[in-house]
Amino acid sequence: MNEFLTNLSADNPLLWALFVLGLVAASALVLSIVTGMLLRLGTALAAIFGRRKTVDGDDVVP
Amino acid sequence: MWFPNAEVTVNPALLVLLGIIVGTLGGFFGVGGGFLITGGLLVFGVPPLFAVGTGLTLVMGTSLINTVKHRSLGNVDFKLGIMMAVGSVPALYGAQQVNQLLDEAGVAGPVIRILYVCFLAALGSFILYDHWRVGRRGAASADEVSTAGLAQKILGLKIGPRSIWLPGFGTVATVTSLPISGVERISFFVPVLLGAVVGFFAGILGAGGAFILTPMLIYLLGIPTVVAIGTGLFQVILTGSVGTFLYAFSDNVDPLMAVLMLSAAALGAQLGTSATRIVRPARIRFLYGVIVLAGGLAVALEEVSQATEVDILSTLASVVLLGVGGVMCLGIGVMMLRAKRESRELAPADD
Repeated sequence: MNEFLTNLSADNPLLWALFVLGLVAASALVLSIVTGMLLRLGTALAAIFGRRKTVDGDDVVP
Repeated sequence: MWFPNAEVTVNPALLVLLGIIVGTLGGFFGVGGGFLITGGLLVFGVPPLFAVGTGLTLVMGTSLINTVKHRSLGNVDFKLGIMMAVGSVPALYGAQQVNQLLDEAGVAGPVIRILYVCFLAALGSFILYDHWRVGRRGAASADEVSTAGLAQKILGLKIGPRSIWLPGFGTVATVTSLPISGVERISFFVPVLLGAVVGFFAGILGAGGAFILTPMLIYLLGIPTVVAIGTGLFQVILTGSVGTFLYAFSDNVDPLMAVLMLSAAALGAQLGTSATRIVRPARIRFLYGVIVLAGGLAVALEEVSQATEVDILSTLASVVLLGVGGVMCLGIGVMMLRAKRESRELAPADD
C-alpha cells in the first residue's frame, strides 16, 4: 500500500488530488454513519440497563 | 507508525488524541480547528507543508462529519451558506494573490502571524466583553447578544437592485427570507458581502474561515448560536475542499494520517455536537472566546519564537493550544455527564 500511495502521488498529481478528496469525503460520511449508530446503540443499551436497575428497585427516587 | 507520503514516524496514539480534541471542539464551536491541528502536527515532528496540507484535509473531513450531525439537529442554513459562498470563493482567490505578493516581498510569515494575533485577540476580547455585558444586564433569552440593535440595522440594509435578471431564471427578487436562521427579510447582497470579507481573511490567514464566520453570524446578523455553528461548518466544507485539493495536488497531504485522525475526530464530533443541545448558548460563546484568546496567545508566542529564534517558545505555543483544547474537551465531557445525571434524576420524579 505504501508503494501505491507514494507512486500515485508522484506520477499523477491530478488523480492523486481527486483520490485524496474522495477518500476523505467517503471516510467522513461512513464514519459519521457508524459513530451515529454506535451512539444510538449506546443510548439504547443505557436505557435498557437503566430500566432494569429501576425495576430492581435500586435507583428509584421517591 | 510510518507515514509514507510525509516520510515521518509518528506515535498513532498522539494522532488519535489530537483527532478527538479537534472533532469535539469542531462540533461544539463550529470551527474546522485548522490552527489547532497544524500546531499539533508540527509538535509531533510532521514537516511544515505536510502539517498544513494534512491539517486542511482533516478540517474538511471533520467539518463534513459535524455538518451531517448538525443537519440532523436542524442547525444548518444551507441557503445562507450558499449565498455566502458566492462571495467567499472569489475572495479566497483574491486573498491568494495578495499572499503571493506578500511572499514575493518576503514578509508573508510575519504579516500573517501579526494579523492573526490582532484578529484573535480582538475577537476573543469582544466575545468575553459581550458575555460580561449581557450577563450583567440579565439576558431575556439565551441567544441575546449586546449587538442585537446593530444586527437589526444590518438585516434592514437595502443594498443593490431589488431584483436581478438571471439567465434561465428570469427576474429574481434579491430580498429573501431565512426561516432556519429566523430572519424574515434580508438582501441577498448582505450575506454575499459578509462571505467576501470572511473568504478574504480566511485566505490571507490560511484557515477554513469558520472561526471568523460563526461570530460574524451571531453578532452581525443576530443568527441563533447553534444555527451559526452549523452554517459555519457547512461553509468550511467548501473552503476546506479547495484547500485540500490544492495541497494534495502539490503532494503535501498524507491521507493515511488524515484518515487515522478523522476516525478519532468522528467520535469527538458526536460528543461536541450533542453538547450544543444541552449547554447554554451564552456558555458556548464564553468558552469560544477563551479558546480564541488561547489561539491568539499561541500565535504570538510563535511570532516571538521566530523573531528571537528561541525554539522552546514555539513548542510552548503548541502546548498552550493543545492544553487549552484538551481541558476544554474534558470540560465538555463533564458538562455532558452532569446533564445526563440531572435528566436521569428528574425522569423518575416526573413520573
